[in-house]
Amino acid sequence: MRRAHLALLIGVLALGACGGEAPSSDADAPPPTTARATVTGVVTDSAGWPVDGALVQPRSLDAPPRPVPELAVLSGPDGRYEWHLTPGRYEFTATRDDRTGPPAEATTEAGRTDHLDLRLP
Amino acid sequence: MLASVVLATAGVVSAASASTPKGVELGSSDTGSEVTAARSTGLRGVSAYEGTGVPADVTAYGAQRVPAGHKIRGYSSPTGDDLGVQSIIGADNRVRVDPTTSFPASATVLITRTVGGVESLHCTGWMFGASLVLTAGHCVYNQSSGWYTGQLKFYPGANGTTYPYGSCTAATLRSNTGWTTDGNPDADYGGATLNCSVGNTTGWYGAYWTTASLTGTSTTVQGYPGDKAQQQWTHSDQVRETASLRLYYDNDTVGGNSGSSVHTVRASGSTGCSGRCSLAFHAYGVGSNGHNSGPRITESRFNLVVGWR
Repeated sequence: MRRAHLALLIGVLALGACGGEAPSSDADAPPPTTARATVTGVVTDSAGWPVDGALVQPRSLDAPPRPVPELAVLSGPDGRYEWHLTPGRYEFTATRDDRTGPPAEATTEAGRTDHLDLRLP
Repeated sequence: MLASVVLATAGVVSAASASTPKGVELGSSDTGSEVTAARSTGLRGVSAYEGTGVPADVTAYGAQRVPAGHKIRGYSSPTGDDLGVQSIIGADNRVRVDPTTSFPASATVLITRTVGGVESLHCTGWMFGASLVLTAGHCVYNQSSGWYTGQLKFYPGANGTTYPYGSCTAATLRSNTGWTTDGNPDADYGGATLNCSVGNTTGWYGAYWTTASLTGTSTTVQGYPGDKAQQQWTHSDQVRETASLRLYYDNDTVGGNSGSSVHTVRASGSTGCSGRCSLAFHAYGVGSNGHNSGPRITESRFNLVVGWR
């Protein structure tokens, strides 16, 4: 009885685990892909020094726009940041102490790393 | 449907999933929750539990004490100006939650990630059991670098530089193949089984699935936006569009809000779930239809995450 109960549980959990992840039904959404594009670079201030703790945010420039994961990505002590995104065109900005630098654009490709440095005023 | 029926009748909804490294375990320890069924309406859920309040000693729950002033790297706007990001839709209508020691603030979890010895704000999560935090899939698994094993810390109810419930680490990170294999944004959800049982004191959100459209249902997104220095902020709106695997809403969010519960408040005695009841996992800023969005809690997802408890 106990063995039958365990077998039933395993079967049920397997059903639960694999029953619901059908492909997206959103007609206008980009096709899912596991291949991510990487954008990395250094945030610097007007004097060229690396900026620690700047919030780096991408915005999709594609039409229709690609939804951007709402992670908090901050530059490190060396000013470096790194984003992994669905391939596409993006505009990146860095913000620190209410100063937002000029946007910088990158057209990314799956499996490729693009370098994009950002400036703060 | 079969899975949920058998789960309910077998009474094993709190068992660990088959993916748990230590194997399958039978039994239920979540005495504060109740699973109810209302299959005729295509709705089923588990109610919220408001917890026992701030403990005298968080270590009694396996959590680590965190001294006030503990340094987590994050961004703070000196003037409170919004960032002008797309996912602030219209005016910035977010409101700070302070204090954070009552439910649901206590069950809303700041997630940090430590790289190279530097601990930074990363995401938001929500308690869904004594030891389970749910969040976005991209907060626990990255298609480029894999699982964030050993990098994440969880601070329920963090409030700026105070941490009334301490912190916990993850014993197991969880997601689903729709995200880890397919990279499908519609399946971008996951979780972490913690090495503590702090949910007993913080409480936990409820959740439910329904086959009905949710458009027009009120939504609250409460979490840790990246421009607010580990403070908890909230904003309410409503479901603007319902898709089979995703919900769309106009709650104001910023990077760092990923993984927040998108929840509604249901009256005591409501079918399936009462109290703070999650409908989706917040994951994405504005997309093609002009709304923020997150994977919807469906029947199979509900069964999966209940199995993670």
